[in-house]
Amino acid sequence: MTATVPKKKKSGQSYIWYLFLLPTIVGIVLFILYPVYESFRLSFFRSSGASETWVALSNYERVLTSSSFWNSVYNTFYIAFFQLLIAIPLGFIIASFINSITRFQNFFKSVFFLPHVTSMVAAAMIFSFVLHPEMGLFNYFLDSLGLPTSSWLSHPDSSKGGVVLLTVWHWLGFVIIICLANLQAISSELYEAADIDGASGLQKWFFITIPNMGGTFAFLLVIGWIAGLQRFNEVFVFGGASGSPSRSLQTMVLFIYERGFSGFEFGIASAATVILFIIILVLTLINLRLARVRM
Amino acid sequence: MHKRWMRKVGMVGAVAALTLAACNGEEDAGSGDDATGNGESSSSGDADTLRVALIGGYEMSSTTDPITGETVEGLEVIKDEFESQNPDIEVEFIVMPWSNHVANTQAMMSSGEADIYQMPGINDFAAQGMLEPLQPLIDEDGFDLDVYIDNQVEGWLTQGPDDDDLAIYGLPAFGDSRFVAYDGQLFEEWGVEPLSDYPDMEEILEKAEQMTGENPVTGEQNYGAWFSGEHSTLFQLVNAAEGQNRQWGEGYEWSEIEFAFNSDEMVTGLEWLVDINEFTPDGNMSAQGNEQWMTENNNIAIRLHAESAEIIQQVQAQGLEDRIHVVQEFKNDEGIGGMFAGSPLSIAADSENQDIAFEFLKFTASDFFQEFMWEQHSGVPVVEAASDWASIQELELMEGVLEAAANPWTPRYPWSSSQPRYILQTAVEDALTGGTDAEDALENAQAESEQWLEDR
Amino acid sequence: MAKRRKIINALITVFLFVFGLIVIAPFIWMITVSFDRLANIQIPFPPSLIPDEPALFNYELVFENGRIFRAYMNSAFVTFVSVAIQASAALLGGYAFSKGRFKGKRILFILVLATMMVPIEARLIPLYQMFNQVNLINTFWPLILPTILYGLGIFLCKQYFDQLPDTLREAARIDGAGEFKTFFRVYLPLAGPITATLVILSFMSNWNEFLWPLVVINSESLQTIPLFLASFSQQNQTQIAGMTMALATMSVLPIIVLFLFLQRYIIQSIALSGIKE
Repeated sequence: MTATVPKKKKSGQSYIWYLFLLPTIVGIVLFILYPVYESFRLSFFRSSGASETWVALSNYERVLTSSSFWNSVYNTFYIAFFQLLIAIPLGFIIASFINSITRFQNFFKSVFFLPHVTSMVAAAMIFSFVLHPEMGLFNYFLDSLGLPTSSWLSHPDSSKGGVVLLTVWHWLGFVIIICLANLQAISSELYEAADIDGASGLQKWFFITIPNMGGTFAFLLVIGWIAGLQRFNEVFVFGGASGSPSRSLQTMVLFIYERGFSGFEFGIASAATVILFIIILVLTLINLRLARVRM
Repeated sequence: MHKRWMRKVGMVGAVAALTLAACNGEEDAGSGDDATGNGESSSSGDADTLRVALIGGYEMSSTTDPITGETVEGLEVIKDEFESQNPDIEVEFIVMPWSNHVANTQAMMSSGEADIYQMPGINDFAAQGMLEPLQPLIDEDGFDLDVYIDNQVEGWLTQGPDDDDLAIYGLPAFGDSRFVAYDGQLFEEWGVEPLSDYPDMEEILEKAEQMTGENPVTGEQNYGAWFSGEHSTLFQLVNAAEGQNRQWGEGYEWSEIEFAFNSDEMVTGLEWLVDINEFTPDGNMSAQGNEQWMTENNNIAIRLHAESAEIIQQVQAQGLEDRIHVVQEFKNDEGIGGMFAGSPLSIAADSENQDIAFEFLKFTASDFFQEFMWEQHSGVPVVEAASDWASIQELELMEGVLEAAANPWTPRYPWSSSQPRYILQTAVEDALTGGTDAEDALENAQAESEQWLEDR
Repeated sequence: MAKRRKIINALITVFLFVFGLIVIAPFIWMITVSFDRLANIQIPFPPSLIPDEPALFNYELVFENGRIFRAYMNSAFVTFVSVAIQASAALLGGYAFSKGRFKGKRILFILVLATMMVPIEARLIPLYQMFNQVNLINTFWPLILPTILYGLGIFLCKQYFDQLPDTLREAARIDGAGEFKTFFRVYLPLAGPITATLVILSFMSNWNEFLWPLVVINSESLQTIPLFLASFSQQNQTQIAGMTMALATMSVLPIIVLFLFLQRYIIQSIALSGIKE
């Protein structure tokens, strides 16, 4: 690339920038463009790694008519939906509380953020004990408050609830940090004006704070959905590749993993991958649109 | 203040980053060496090195048992002994975890990382032509297969791509068996007759029901039974069908296999499991609720589909020799039944060290290897000679354990490492957790498995 | 009025303390159980702050059985190299996109941003097959090589370098310095804060990476911390609470300590990126 540089120094200068970007360009070609192309290509073949047979759309047909795929879609959306439904409002309320007090602000930030720095695998390992139906900390806590307990991870009706608890616990700190950063960015003039009008704290919160946080909530929603669609670590630790009990924890990525790496059905797994990828792509585009609006 | 500090950290980071980037070629090569240094991935066909891939928590050096606190010897012992018997050979062990072992094995085999593999999923690999047929090596060597406990060699028979009949592709090395274990003390406290040596479904259900509730002597909550609702429940179900003189289906090669997952006997078996599930602790569907099993505070009367390792390891450590007893899983009229368990060792078809590899297979049938596995890792011996060892005779329940190893269903269910296994397991879980009734669940499993076979 | 404000403030603080305690209760329980000699035999119940029979036994197990150290070394090695590569690639790339003038710059930058939309899940199987073809499965290579592309890092670096004036470049050019020299001598020394952010973000994502290593690492001696924990947990279920919790403590504690030391910067970095994984 740099071989033709000497003659025209000024325009030749620009080639050097490709050197700066060499690792990135190689990375894009080898680890993004090629694999994504391959994922699409493989989804039209029956393949176990060694041999490949063209099967047109039959993989898609099998995936889209398979009840276990739709079950995994349902599980993925269910967990993400309730995680966001609980974590965003709760995190926002706690962030508002932390923002309103004068002492211990940093202390509380750290405390609530602690779960988020723990790896999800370690967190799931701890929660398999915390959610133990008989000797678990959480049921003990519920019981001592006189609340009904649950069998959590050991029954398909409650297992997703257990995962939601874990993910809320793990994600809450992130929501709080993002909310706090944006709370502190709301112009203080707005509040001062409201003070002059004699608004109470709660009124200010409802009529100034919440409307000003719209962008933040939207951002958290999209980020949360994207991460939720990629859910794997915690459900894998709890229920293995098939998402036990009774496939109630099998998410879309687990489905791909089970078909791809336990059964070596690469074609089926690739078709499911393409479907997942398209959903994520749409959400990310929405995210970029929102980010532009925010900036 | 903080800014300046942060800048310093950043600077150091930046410099380190760029220096590293500059020489990252070398750095990475280092990582590759590291890997091979551990005996991981040397792909050279050095005739002097025998690479053995094992599955499970084996360590090279000694470790401490988490429950008993006793020292457990590592694989070094095996390596040293084999190398002293075969001075020109160096043994390298590669250990992979049980989780995901099928995919791991596949990847290792396709890149030729070992000569010998621990091979619980022998059928799929033999069918792909990746394993060496052992009969010629056995004949050439004159190795006598009678050293093994009955049915152990038969259990691993399978077919290669060119075989018309079942053939030997693996020899037993790591023994294991499945049986019913019970706590005699709980039976006594409840005033229930001990289990008979060959209990049937009715007997187990009846006794489990009797012993669920508040223990009349201790006042503790007791459960009549426990089994894991994860991973392996389907084998208990298949065994229940065997007890009624049926089987999972028939055939050996994928093209010939016919499933009978929805037979009346399977339905009866699953309904029986659903009934028993009433008398188990809540957590059993996620393999929990048995934390007190095999301790002196045990609250579980009958352990269905018990694994040898969990019993043997703890029965002595916890001093439960007089409480825990072993009886057989369900047998058909010919006295056969129950899942064939354990792992054989197989030789990779592309191994360049097949003769040495066979020496190692023979070595694993020696008393030295088998006693090591038995004493250090609570493995069930696979050799006939074991029943004479003093340490085995001392432990009364070993009689039942070894009997269970001698008459399971053989050969091993050919689909037991493939998708139908997971399909059937899901059906069992559906029925046990009340999502579907037994008959519908099994109809679904049958249809799904047939569809899978067809799509293959 | 001021008094009422004070009471509300106190109430909120108390609430936050109680709720905070609930949030970190699993950690407290984890540590308690890890020091309980009897916890391997039976999960301590009802939960208490002080173990029935306090002992270091579980930690001895974790130390003696050794695999946690091997996993630590593996994780440390992979993470260190990955962070170094990611930070370098991002600094170089971000600088080029900020100060460089070359053909295809805009398209290339959009492409880099687009890479952030392609999660590992969408590439899992082809990447696996690719590394399998060149016999690099079950080595650290598949974990390290793909880190040469770091879209988020390039984006953050570009924004950072955009804020630095171009006049510095011109001064360097007059002195006769080439582009690389200008970058290393003039801009890199000013890039401390953004490098710290890159290191923090890249460290957190590499250290916790799970799915991709799960697919490409087969043998136990190459397991990273998350892989080791997952296979330990799946093998033992809830059978040996004491040792499991000692392991969890050992794996969680260093990160927590690091976090407590660097919390301000970590929180800033995360607020800046808006994205963790």
